[in-house]
Amino acid sequence: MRTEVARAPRVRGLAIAGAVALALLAAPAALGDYHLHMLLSAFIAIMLGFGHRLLLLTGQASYGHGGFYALGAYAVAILTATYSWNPWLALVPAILVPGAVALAIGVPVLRARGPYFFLISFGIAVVVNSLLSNLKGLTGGNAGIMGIPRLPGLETVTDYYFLLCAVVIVGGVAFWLIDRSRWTLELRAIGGSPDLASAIGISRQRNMVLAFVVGAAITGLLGGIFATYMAFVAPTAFSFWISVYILTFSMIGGAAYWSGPIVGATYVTLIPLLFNWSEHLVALFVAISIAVVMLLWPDGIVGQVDRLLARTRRGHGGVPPVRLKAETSAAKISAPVHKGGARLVVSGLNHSYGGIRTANNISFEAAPGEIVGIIGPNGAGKTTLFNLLSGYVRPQGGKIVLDGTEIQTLPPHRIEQLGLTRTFQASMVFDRLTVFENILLGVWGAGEKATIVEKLFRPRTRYERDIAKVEELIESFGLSEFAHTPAGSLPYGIRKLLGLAIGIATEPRVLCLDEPVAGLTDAEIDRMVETLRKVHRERQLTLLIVEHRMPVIMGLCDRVVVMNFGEVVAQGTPEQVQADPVVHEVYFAR
Amino acid sequence: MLLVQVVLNGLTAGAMLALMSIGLTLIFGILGVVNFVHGVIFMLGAYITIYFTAELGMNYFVSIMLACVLGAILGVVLEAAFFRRFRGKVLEGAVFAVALALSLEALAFEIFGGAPRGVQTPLPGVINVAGLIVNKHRLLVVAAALLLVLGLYWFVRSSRYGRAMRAVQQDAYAARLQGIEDSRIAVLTFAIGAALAAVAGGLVAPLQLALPDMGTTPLLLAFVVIIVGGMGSISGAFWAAVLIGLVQSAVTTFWSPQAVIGVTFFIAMLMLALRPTGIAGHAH
Repeated sequence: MRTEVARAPRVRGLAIAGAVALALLAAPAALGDYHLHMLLSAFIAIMLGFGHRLLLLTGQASYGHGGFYALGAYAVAILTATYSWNPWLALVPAILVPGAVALAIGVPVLRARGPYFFLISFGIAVVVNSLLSNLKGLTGGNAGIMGIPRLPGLETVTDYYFLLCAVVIVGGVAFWLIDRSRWTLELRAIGGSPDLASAIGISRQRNMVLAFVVGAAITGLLGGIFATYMAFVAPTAFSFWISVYILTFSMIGGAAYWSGPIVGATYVTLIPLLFNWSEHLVALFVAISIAVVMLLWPDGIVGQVDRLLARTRRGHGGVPPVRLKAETSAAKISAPVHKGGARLVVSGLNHSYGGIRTANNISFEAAPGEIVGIIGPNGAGKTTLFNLLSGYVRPQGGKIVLDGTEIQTLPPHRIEQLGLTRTFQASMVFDRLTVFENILLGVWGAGEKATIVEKLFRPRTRYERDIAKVEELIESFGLSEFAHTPAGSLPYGIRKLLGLAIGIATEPRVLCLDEPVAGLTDAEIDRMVETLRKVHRERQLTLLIVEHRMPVIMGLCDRVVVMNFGEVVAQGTPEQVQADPVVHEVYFAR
Repeated sequence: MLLVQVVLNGLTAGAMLALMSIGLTLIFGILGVVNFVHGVIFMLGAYITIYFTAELGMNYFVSIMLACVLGAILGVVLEAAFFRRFRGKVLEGAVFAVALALSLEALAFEIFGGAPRGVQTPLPGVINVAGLIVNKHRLLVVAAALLLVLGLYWFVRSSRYGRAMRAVQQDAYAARLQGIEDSRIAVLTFAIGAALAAVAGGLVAPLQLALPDMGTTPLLLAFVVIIVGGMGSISGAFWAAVLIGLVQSAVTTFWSPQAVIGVTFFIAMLMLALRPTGIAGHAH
């Protein structure tokens, strides 16, 4: 299987892009100022849509970008009209001020999950608008600021048309590159499953804050340009409707697609202008459009078109049925970076939820390359132990030492980078990404950190070394026929195997598997056990396995730790544990 | 003396806010819907009350009852027709709710027009105790709000349906396994929340001029309240409503009414930074 891009679509794509660019450049010759103003508004909208979409990929929507737009516009207005700055120079604070505000808000608020960010971002727009009206000395209150000079060198509407044309082309290409970059895949991974993303070394907080700040900065820049174009700013021009419009651009177009903001922004901006509707009618039009799209086409217009095209291409019916391959191929799994396993020492680990002790003075050790099984009845604290080891829950006492480094206070993605990876029972894979993309993310989790430029702009197809590793892993796990299938449409057993492949791809020195065979058929269990043995043989990594299936544990493990009510009640070789009367009591005497 | 007056005003504002926020927090906690339509229902409650009282000459209290019933029906329709489809999709549901609220508000401008409407209170005049001035109607609002909040608290704590609601809030799947029909609970929750919002609108109708966008500010303040109170918690929402009511009163008196929203959202952000689970403090 290869991943090169087919030639024909690329040539066609370039031809279309060239034709569009030519048409845009020729437009001023054919159109009057009114129509140029319309196109120019659409260009601004498209850029605002691009800026907003980044964070949307992570599953969080900002309802406050109208605030950033206003901040950029007022920064330019105040600096040029009041303090006589050169307008070009004033664009710099128009970028920096919204970016700084986004940073200050994003760091605390993006930490909380759920709808908090959405609600607070709503507050950004509201607070900024209230400041514009109330800080009269600075902003001129409700009267606003007049006499903002145009950008030197740009006089007419046509001049501004060309400027924004250039901005949208440069911006479009930049976001097109970003869409093909490692960063976009990481953002989508965070949107798909935040826990799994941090388990393979992706920092949720850092990526989301970066997406938010970049989006705010771009929005501010456009606000600044807009202020010089209109020559006048007032709070009424920055009502909370601006925030709603910016939100709708990508949602109507399709947030998952690069072309989504283009389609959405063009639709929302041009149709009302064509019909010359009143303000209330435009509001009604936009609100009804977004409501209908959310109800009927949750993936937006582009998503719906994509689905229809895919359906006609395939004839009828949905995803093609998948066949199970009999066994894992014998190909060798690639040589790891970290040779061998690490030593994990857990001592005196404590944790309680409310009044319930879920970890009570837990101590055990796993030697390099050892396979340690962790068993116990439901509620014994096994999953809590994994959450503690991998940084999802911080212990209230005790130490976790990974090859001499204390990790009990680190966040999950740092722990992964130090060599301890875990899998999950529930969110095993990224459902909306393909098998290939799933494993690629895992492989990146093993590598060194990329520079930010590389992460944002290097196309995913140009990571030849990493791609080779992915292909080897796909081959050796017998996943070749599903390589470009979205993981969510695969059968349960295959997803379980893929979850393991992602974990292995991060080249861990300690791998914690949470119920790797739960819910599998006997044949699938055999396949999974065989795969685990092979992986362990080739990589000599340390394995921690939580599992209920006794034959699997007893057959696979060098040593078994038995837990009950948050405590370690016994440990030893499988034979010792099986003979231990305490274990019998835990399992049978109740 | 001024301070006592500010506190008094704050408590009456807080009582009204509690009515708005508790429905909002219930709907979020149990159904995971960020209900931006709540402000529109508040506005409709005011318009319905005004219509029955001023146009049809009905008794004010009867009109509020009617607003309550119509609000509940609207809540049921919204849940059954729309929000049901967004179960488990918080973001999509929230964006849809924003759009729906804005459409309804724009529609209200087309139907009701932009001219302000008003209605007389059945309890005109003020009580003047040693220089402290309290509008009689405000006392009525406080009494009605306290009664409704306590009634709801009792309902959710002790009644069969209330227990079912809390069960769905904690684990919808497990509740279903116990034979609780969660779609019925969803409808009930929406009906209760919408009825409370409509009553709140009817109660404040005599105190301010009614306009189609009159629900925006109470909605924003209610969002602050449920963030500060911890989303999904009734008692948290109640205490947060009192707190935000006091802040609103103080900012209005000592600074400017326009600054209220800004200051309260700032408090919500601080709260998220320092204690993301809110006053009541159970993680969701």
